[in-house]
Parts: sequence; C-alpha cells; structure tokens
Amino acid sequence: MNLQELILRLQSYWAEQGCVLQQPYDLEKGAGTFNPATFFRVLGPEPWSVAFVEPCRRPSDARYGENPNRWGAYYQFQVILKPSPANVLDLYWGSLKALGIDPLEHDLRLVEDNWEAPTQGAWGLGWEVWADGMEITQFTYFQQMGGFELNPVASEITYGIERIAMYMQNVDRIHDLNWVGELSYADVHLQAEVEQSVYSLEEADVAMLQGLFETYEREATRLLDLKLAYPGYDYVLKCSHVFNLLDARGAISVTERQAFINRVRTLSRKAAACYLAKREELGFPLLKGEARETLLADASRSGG
Amino acid sequence: MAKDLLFELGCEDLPPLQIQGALDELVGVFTKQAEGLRLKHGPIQSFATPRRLAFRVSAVAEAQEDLEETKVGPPVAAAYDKDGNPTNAALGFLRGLNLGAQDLFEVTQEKKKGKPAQYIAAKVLETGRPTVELLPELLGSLPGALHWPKAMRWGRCPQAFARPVHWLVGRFGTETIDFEFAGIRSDNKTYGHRFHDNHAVALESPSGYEAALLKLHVNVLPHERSEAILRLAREAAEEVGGHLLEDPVLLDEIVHLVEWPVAVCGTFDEEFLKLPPQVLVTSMRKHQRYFSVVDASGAPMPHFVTIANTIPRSKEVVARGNRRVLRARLKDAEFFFREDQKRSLQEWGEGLDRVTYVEGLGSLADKSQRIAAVASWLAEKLYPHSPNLAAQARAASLLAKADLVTGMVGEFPELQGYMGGRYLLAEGADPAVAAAVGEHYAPKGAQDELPQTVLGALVSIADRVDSIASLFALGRMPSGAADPFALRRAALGVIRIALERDLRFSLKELFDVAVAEVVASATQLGTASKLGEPAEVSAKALDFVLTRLRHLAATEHKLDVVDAVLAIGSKLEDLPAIQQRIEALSGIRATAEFEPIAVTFKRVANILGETPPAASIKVNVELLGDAETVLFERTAAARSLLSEELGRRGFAAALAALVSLRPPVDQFFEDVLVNDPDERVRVNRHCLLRDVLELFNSFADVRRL
Repeated sequence: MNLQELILRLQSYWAEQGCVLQQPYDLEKGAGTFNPATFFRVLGPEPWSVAFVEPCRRPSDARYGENPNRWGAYYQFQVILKPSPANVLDLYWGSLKALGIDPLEHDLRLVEDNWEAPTQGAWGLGWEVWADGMEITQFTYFQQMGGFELNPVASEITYGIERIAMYMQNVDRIHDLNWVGELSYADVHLQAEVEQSVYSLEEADVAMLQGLFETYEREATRLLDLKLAYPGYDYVLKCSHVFNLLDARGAISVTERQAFINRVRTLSRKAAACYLAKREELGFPLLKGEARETLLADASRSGG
Repeated sequence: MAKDLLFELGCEDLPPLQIQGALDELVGVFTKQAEGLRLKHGPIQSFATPRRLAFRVSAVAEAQEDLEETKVGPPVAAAYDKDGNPTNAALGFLRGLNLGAQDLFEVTQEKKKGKPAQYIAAKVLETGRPTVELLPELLGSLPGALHWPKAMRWGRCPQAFARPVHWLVGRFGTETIDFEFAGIRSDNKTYGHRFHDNHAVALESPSGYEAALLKLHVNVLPHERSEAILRLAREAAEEVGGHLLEDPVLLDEIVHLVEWPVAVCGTFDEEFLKLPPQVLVTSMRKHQRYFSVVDASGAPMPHFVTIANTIPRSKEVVARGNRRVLRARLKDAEFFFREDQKRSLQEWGEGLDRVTYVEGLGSLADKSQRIAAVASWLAEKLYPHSPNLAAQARAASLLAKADLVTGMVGEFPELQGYMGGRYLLAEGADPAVAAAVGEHYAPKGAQDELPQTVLGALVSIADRVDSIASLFALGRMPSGAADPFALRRAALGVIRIALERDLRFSLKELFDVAVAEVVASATQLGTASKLGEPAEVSAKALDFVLTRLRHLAATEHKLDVVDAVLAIGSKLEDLPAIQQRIEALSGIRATAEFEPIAVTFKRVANILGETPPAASIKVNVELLGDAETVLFERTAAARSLLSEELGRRGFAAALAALVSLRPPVDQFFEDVLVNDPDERVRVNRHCLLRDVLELFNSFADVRRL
C-alpha cells in the first residue's frame, strides 16, 4: 500500500466513524496536539470527533535526510474522539484492519506510555501500540490540556504515518517509502528535508529568533488579553516553533530551557482559558441533548 | 453451607509494573472489609493479566457471624426510683433496645472525670445478615479503594482507575452479585483474549475460573505465565544453538504484558556483534523487551527472543517485523558508539563543566576533582608502598564521570561507567584505570556486586563520600523517606566495600578530608557561604554512615551489642574494626556466660554512677587489701593483654581478657564494702573500679548491654 493510499484509507475509515475530516493547520508545529482542532476542542464540555493529517516539524530531529528513521519533518495522522467512547480500542483495531493489518497475523501490543507536553500544560495516560515490536501509534487518554482538567475526557490516536508505511511496505528507510506510482518519499520531500536541516542546524539566525520569540510572546499576550483566542494562539504556536529552532541550534542552555518551557506553557494556559471563556459565552453550541441539559442544570444550580 | 466467591475486574491494558501491587492491595482491602463485616472465609487466591485483576475466596460463610453486644444505659442511681422500680430513663433505654426489665444487669464504668460508677446495661444480639446481602456493597467498594501511582478518567465517567474499566464479575457460588463501578454493572460474564476470543463467556462457578479462561487463550496465573515464558524463551534460544540470557527483572515485566505468551526468536546482522555486549543487551531489553541469546561462553549471539501475546499465523512474519525494528535500534547504538569514539574520553570529560552536579557545589567537573583528591588520599593512606596507585586513582576519578556526556550514555543512562570503561580500553588506556571507571558505580543496590578491583573500590568510596560530604555541607541531608540523592545507599556502599576488602581507614579522617575538599571547591566557586561549619558537617556525615552501619549490623546481631560498640564509635579506627568488635561481643552475647558478665560490669558502672573519680586520681596501692590487690593486678595484666590484642586486631582475645576480670571483680564485691566509711579507702576503691570499667568501655559501652 503506498503512502497516500494509507492516508486515504485512514481518512475514509474515520469518516465512517463519524469524524469531521479537518485539514492540517497552516502554521509550523511539533505535533498534531498543537493543532487547534485538538488543543482547543478537547477543552470544555462540547463533544468533538475529528481526524486530520498533520505535517510536523521537529528541527532538532533534522539529520539532512540521512537517518533511516528520523526526519525533521514528518506526518502524523491524528484522531480525537471526545468523549472517548467505550469501544475506542476496538475502533482503533478496526482501523488497522482497514489498513490490512490482521491482528492474528501480527503481534499487536499495548505498551504503557504516558504522555506529557510541558509547553502545552498537558498530560495523559495511554500506550504506544506495537506491531511486531514497531511503535506505530501513540494512544492517549488526555487528562489535562492547557492546564485544565478535561471533562469529558478525549482519546487521542496518533498514527506515525512513515512508521506504519515502512512497516507495511517492508522498507528500512523513510527515503525508500513509496509515495505513489514511481515516486518515493525522497522524491517528494528530500530536497526540503536537506535544506531545512541546513537551516535548523546551521543557518537559523539565533539573534533574530530570540528577538522573534520576545515579539511573538508579547503579541500572543496582547491578543489573548483582547479575548482573541485563535489569533492569540497562533502566536503561541509561533513561539513554540521558534523555541524548537533555538533548541536545535544549541542556543538554549539547560537552565534557560526550563525558563523557555515555562513561558510557552504560561501562554498555552492563557490561550486555553481564553478559548474556554469564549465557548462558554457562546453557550457551548456543540453541546446537544441530555449532556446539554445536565450541564445547564448544573450551571444554574451552582449559580453560574 | 459456605460457598466460593469470585471477583474479576476487566479493563484496558494496565501498567505492567503496577499490577502485582494492585492485586495485593485488592486482596488486602477485601480481607480487611470481610473481617469488619464478620464474614468468615477460607484462603484467597489471586489472578492477574494485563487486562484483569481477580481473586477467588474459598468457603465464604453464607451469613455474618452473630454479634452479642453490651449496651450501657443510664447510671443505676437514675435507673430506679426509691422503691426499686425502673424510672422513665430505664424504661426508655429498654424500649430502644426492644427488651424488658428482666434483661437488665449492672456494669461498672469509668466516667470521663471522676470515679467509676454503676450503670444499667443489657445484652443485644445482632443476628448476622446473609452474605449475599453484604456482597454488593463490599465488592462495589473494591475498585475505588485501590491506590494507583497515576489514575485516569475516561469518557464522562466521574470515577478514576489506572485504565478504563470494561467489565465486572461477582459470583457467589452460582449466584451473580449485582454491583457497580464506573458506570459498569457486574455480571457473570468474562472476556477472553483480545484477538483470539474477544467475546463474552458466562462463568458458571468460581472454581472453574482458570479453566474457563484457559479455553479463551488467557492464563490468569502470573506464576504460570512466568514459568511458561522462561521455558518457551529457553527453548527458542536452544533451537538456534544458544542459551537464554536470563533477566528476572525483564521477565517480571513481560509476565504482565501478555495474556498468552508465545516465544518468537529472531536474528540480527552479525556486524552488530562488534558492539559491546552490554550495549546489545540493554538496547534489546530497554527498547524492545527482548531477551538476549548467548553462546556457551556467555558471549552474545546474533539472536533475540521476543514474547508475543498472540499465536501468529506465521512466526516468521512477526520475527521479520521485530528484526527490522531491532536493526534500526542497533543502528542507532552503532552510531553513538562510533560518534563517541571520535573523541577520547578525556575530551568528552571536558564537557562535564557544563553539567551541574548540585546548586552551590559546581559541576560534575568540580565533583570529579574532589573525588580525585579523596581517592588519591585513600590510596596513599591504605597502600603507602604502592605510590603508583594514588596516581591511578586520580586518573580514574577524573575520567569516571566523562561518559555521562557521551551519546551512548545519553541514550542508555544505565550504561554509565560501563561505557567509560569500554571507551578507555579501546583507546589503549591503563586497563586498571579503565576497570575502575567501569565499576565505580558498584554496588548499585544493597545486594549488588561490589567493585572487583582495588582501584575501583577506592574511586567508588571516594565518589560516595564526596556525595555525602557535599550534600551534608549544603544542609541537604536525607529526611524521613526523602533521600533524593540516594545518600543512604551511598553510605551503605562505602560500608560494604570497606568491610569486604578490609579497608582500614579512619572514617572520621576520611570525612575530614572530603569536607575540606568540599570547602576548597566552594571557596573556588564563591559559594562557601552556603556551607555548614566544616567540623560539624564532618561529624554529622560520620554519624550518618555509622547509623547505616548500625542498621546493617542489626540485621545479624543484637541491637544492644551493636549500640555498645558504636557508643564508642568515634574513638574507633576503622569500619572493619567496628564490625569485628561487634562480632566478638556478639559471640559471647549468645552464650550462657553473658548474663553474669553483664551483671558484674553493670554493677561496677552503677556503683560509680555519673561521677567516677577523676582520671588524675590514681589507685593508691598502699591502701589495697587482699581481694583488691588481686583485682588491681589482674586489671593491670588485662590492660596490657588488651592493648596487645587490640594492636594486632585480636578482638575476640581482647574481649576474653576483659571477661577474665569477672571472677576477681565478683570476689572483690564479696570481700569488701566499696563504700567504706573511710573516705580515702572509698575513693581508692572507686578508682580501682573506674579503671576496670574504663578498660571494658574501651571495647564496648557496658551500660548499653
């Protein structure tokens, strides 16, 4: 199965399960959890089911396209189900079957792995999913996001597209993955990977980036103070990416590192609080039926 | 008729290392609650897999035990009127209990303040309720009673558990017990293996539990799974002509990763055998939970054994997938191994000045310098005739921490020390220095191996002593359960090494040196003001190590013996000497002789009390009578024998010399009145006894016995 067919099958499988198919968010980010379709939507009482491909950038993983498994840019396929349904694991096994991975042909295992994203003020419990020893998915029940306890809890399924494709196509290097037809992953992405590696590891202008971090941080704060959740959050994402670039350039010492993380986390929390307040103001429009009645009744009882 | 009870909780895959603890707690909570409910039952057997916690209680009584209780009413004075008829208070008491006046008797009870008084009382019999009525609440309370290191919520469920709960089973004989947790209603249905038998199956009776699940590809007995894994893995290793490298810690984790173990053996490219054996083993174990395969000589073979949780259609497919993953892992390890060796370990060590050891005492480079100073001091002190040893100790200390900044140790922290040793050997460095770097973290735990070489032992002690001196100087000693720098373990390591190698250094002197190094280090760093007063720090550190010795010794010897020796501890020379004194004293502690000896010498101590005559007052021979002269002479003889024996570390013989003083002391007490009316005579006798006591106390403090 080529790489784009793999994505198409995941999309159609999760669309059949009732997920909104969103598209990647148009800003640099290190993981799908930064997409507002995840970061914002898992907050608050409103139900939400979404699936999307997310291109991710991890400047410190850049290796000029020379490492067989590690590239600075790669894809995640993320599925958020909120509230997490009781059969979420069965749905997940179903998605593997849709990809042609038969659980009786392979050794599929859930291996404890707890997730934490300090810059997002987030953590959850779950597993790595192993197929014959290869980690192909990260499965997490989010417990906190942006510093807020989640209720209801959302489940997050993140497929490593390249990992699964390597596994299914029996290849040993990301390079050699078949994208479609005669085209390999390298044909599609290698030049960008090499150039971005040079940028991330050698050329990124540290002084400029440090300046940008300050600027973006101020702008994020200003916008969030204006109760503009989405634009404010965009600047949080920019801060996060600039921090990642500085880190890849080795421009952040161990002690500074924690300080940077704290600054981004503070912004994330502010963005989460801003989004939640806005949704509440809007009356949590996606909340329907019994859940809505219960919430409104609770709110009126607590005088809120 | 008593019946068996079965409880099962089915859930998503639990963290493997938490399962055994949860299971024990589950059974513990049940037992405690059953006791509180007066529910008699037989033995409990527990079961667990990654997806279930269960237990079966045999022969649970069908009803609670009856309970007879005495209820106490108003004081007798208020219970009867002057004609002896029950008052309203008494009648009210009886009405409340549904009893008549004929059931009353009197009891004496203490009032809160004041004297005991008479009250009326009556016995009430509470008939035990049927067990089936109690079980729903009892079983329903169990899941929520477990303490997980990290619990989670899921969906809209307000309750938390380690992972989402899917089914509950409560079965009392052939009856289903109805209870609820996390929105799940109990039933008599369990579920089989996730992929082989993912369907509900009704459990008929508690006794058929294991058999029913075996049919569903689930072995619910952890010890059976453990045995099966070991057997299957050994067979798999033997099939490729090798032996399994056994790994009990890994085994304990894998047991709770699978419900139905299947061993799959795979191979990796022989080129990876160039990697150091521990790198191969660690990479496979840590990242992939694989067992390693070794040949008859213990050398790694290019095979691994993984334990699958499914019976695959073809083991070849599973092996192939695992092989590819392992290849990528080993490629990474090979990369680190190659990159690390592009620099010498010495060059890597230059990076240590950027790694903080502890706020206020600089970097790991600073710590290395201190270790070097302490280790070379120890080498000179203990081996004055091997001048080269001090230089080697210094060299090994300065390189000991260098591998912490290498890529390989960054990836596998558990290879610290080992990698440094390997890299040094590969560089062609002094093999003794390489070995010392390699083993200076030993012993890791209380039962783990000690350093094999003298040099390794010296660096290990110096490293630990510096850690204790540094953290004590900064006032960060362990308190209660909090010991973030593992200083207790460090102290225990020092003791074990010193005892095993019979290293005769003065612990006090060693800490004085180590604290002086810490002060010098801090002065250079400009942080000296953060440190405690050196003499006090050294004394506290010494005391800390002696306390660990006390705990260690108390596992084999009576505590009074240990304390008697340690009471004079600060005067003692070295750790082996302390240990041998304890052993000598412990030797007679176990004999029938001991009591009379202790009585005699304690009597001496008691007569002298808190104020024995000053040392400047000597025994006046002219004033001595016969029994006193015997004692005086025997004491002098014992003193010289004692000093001679102690001088050549003959602790048992030294103690024997002391014990030989008992008859003359007893004779002395029989023949003379110590507290003679003549003050000169009295003081002289006290002086004689003081000398006896001091002699004994130079071995161990008799008052502690």
